[in-house]
Amino acid sequence: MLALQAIGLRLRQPVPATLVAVAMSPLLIAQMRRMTGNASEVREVRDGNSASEELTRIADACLIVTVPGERQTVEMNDIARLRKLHPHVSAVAIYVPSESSYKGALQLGAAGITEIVTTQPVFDEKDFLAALSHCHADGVAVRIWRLTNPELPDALVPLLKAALRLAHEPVSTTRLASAAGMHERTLRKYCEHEKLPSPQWIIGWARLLIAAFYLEEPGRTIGNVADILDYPSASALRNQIRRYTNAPPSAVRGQSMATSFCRLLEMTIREHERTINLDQQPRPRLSLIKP
Amino acid sequence: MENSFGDILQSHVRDNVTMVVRTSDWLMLERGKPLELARQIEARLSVIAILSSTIERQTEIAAPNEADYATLAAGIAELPPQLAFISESSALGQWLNIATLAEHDGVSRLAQLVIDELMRLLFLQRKEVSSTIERNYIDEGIGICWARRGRLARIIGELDDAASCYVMARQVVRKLPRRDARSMADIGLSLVAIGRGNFPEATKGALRLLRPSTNAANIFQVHAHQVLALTKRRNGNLIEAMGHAWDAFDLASGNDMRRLELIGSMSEISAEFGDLDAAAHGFDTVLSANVPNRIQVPSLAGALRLCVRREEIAPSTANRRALGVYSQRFKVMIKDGLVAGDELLALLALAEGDLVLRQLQSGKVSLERAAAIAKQFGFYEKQYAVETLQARFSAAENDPDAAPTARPEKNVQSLLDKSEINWPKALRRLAEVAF
Repeated sequence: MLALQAIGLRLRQPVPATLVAVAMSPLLIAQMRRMTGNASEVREVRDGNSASEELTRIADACLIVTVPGERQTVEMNDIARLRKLHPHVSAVAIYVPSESSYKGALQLGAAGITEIVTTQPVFDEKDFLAALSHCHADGVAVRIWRLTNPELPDALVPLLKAALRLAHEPVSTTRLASAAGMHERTLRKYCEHEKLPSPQWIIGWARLLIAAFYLEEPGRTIGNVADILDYPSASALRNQIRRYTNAPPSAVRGQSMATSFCRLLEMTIREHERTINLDQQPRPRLSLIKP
Repeated sequence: MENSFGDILQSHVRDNVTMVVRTSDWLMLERGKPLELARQIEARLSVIAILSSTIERQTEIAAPNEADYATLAAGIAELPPQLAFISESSALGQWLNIATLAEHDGVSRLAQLVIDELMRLLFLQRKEVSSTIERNYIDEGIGICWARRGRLARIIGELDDAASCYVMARQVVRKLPRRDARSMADIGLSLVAIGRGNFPEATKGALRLLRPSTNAANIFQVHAHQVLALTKRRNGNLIEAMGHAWDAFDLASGNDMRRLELIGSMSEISAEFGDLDAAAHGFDTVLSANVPNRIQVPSLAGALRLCVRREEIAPSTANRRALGVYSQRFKVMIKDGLVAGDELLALLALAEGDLVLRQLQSGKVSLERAAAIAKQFGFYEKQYAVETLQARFSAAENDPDAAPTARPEKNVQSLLDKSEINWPKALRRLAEVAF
């Protein structure tokens, strides 16, 4: 984090611990090492098989590949195979004008990447680190989902997953709505139609699940997590935990905090559905005339 | 439980919610990917995607990468002008151009990503500035972004969404002098009103823009005349409709794309007027040019309807052949993917063609699909057209031997008598118009 602060970039959230760079030029590797400093370790591998081995071994890793040229079908297939083997690992594709093609970027994108970074005109440090932050956010979202494996209504799942990916920063309803490709009002209507709680509530739970994930890590304080997730203060996070779980943070903090929060979320959703269904039952008619 | 983000996006998505958090999600999407024009310009889309990915990580609006932007220059030069007050050489202007190009290429979701990121950056920038002039400039930018969001929603047929975005645009700039955002929002709301069949509301909005006191820029006056041409035509006032279309055509000098769009709409007026030759010439002019679907589809529908009318008046083999060619062209376009409004137009035209050729089964299939689209997206006016056609299909089924009813021609002479325009001359001019 120190290296990031030194360049004046305010990156609260960490970057992936290990970057697995596949068949990259030594110059690019050196540049990446300089940019990430102590925040990430850059491991250089020659091909897809070695990368696959590394990715199997390391939990918090990010794949770094170069966007292939138009005729580099072997490289393209290699990367596509790697993405299939490790779909949960975030990936950064680096566009190098001398090696890559624009079409390659589109094809590689279809195979699944998290970010595209261009080295044209320069390999920008700020840009690369921001891309790594996005990768980290996506990685955390995937890990939380796999860890908790929640059973939620189908309509809620894409919204919550998107909110989880964005939840390292305060998320507005407008932002979630734009990820869904609609106006905020339409998203509210959609939630009503699907009998879901409000978008703001979904965002709140996403932020809370991320907070729980970080609080499980040894040595993390509430203040530290509040800082990572850009809460105005530690009290704000404490209050949110209290509001959503009806318990003080000290009472809910434990080893499987994210999982227990998730179970609580499932319960709350079931309760919400029950209330809505009750509301929609026809009311008994009042009879004003005595039988 | 799926693992990849591609799966996350694909597996649980409902019909009308496709989550695209970042450009990389758009790259993985199968749906919403390039229409027929876009396939030929993969490289251009890749550049837009790379640029869109870059703006997502920016913390202030910086001009797009010069080399990448230069590769888009040819495409951007073909676009009709969008703004009157924001300089195209400014960073904001350049990003808006990129979004417009994406929209023009049929990838509205990618355009939306760029617009949303611009809006995010403008909000960030607004917090930093202290001068009122700068803040007003930023507000204008935010208003433009909302109006553009509205346009994107309107084009894919989400009229409620579009109206909400236009209203947001108006709210943001309500205290500012009228510049691009306000006019864009006014025109947008008029077009939404047309989509809903509320012609008086649409007319009111367009007339407001044409008031001398409004002092709207030239391009917005063109839009206003276009809206009036459409509403007058729908109200059966063909003379005034043609007058407004010509006014728009004259004002839009130097904008070939807009002029082609206007030729399409004037051809429709001519067809309604009964001058089929002038209309056919106009439609052919549009169809022979390289235009986006939103201009091509109405002209193709118009050309197909002309064949239908000719078939009703005097059936001929050549006419049927032309009808078949147009129908086939539409089928290919639908297969490749059209936005809701365009698909609806295409399906209605196809159904009319099928009716005149007595291919009732395939026509009914088209109509069913059209009815579903009209209902889903709230195209109320088109719902009426669908129902009218359904009634004609039922009548044809009940009396299979009867020839399709020829529609009564409008009383041309009475219209001409009321007109202050030299009508035959105006139609000749349309028939002669060339680029």
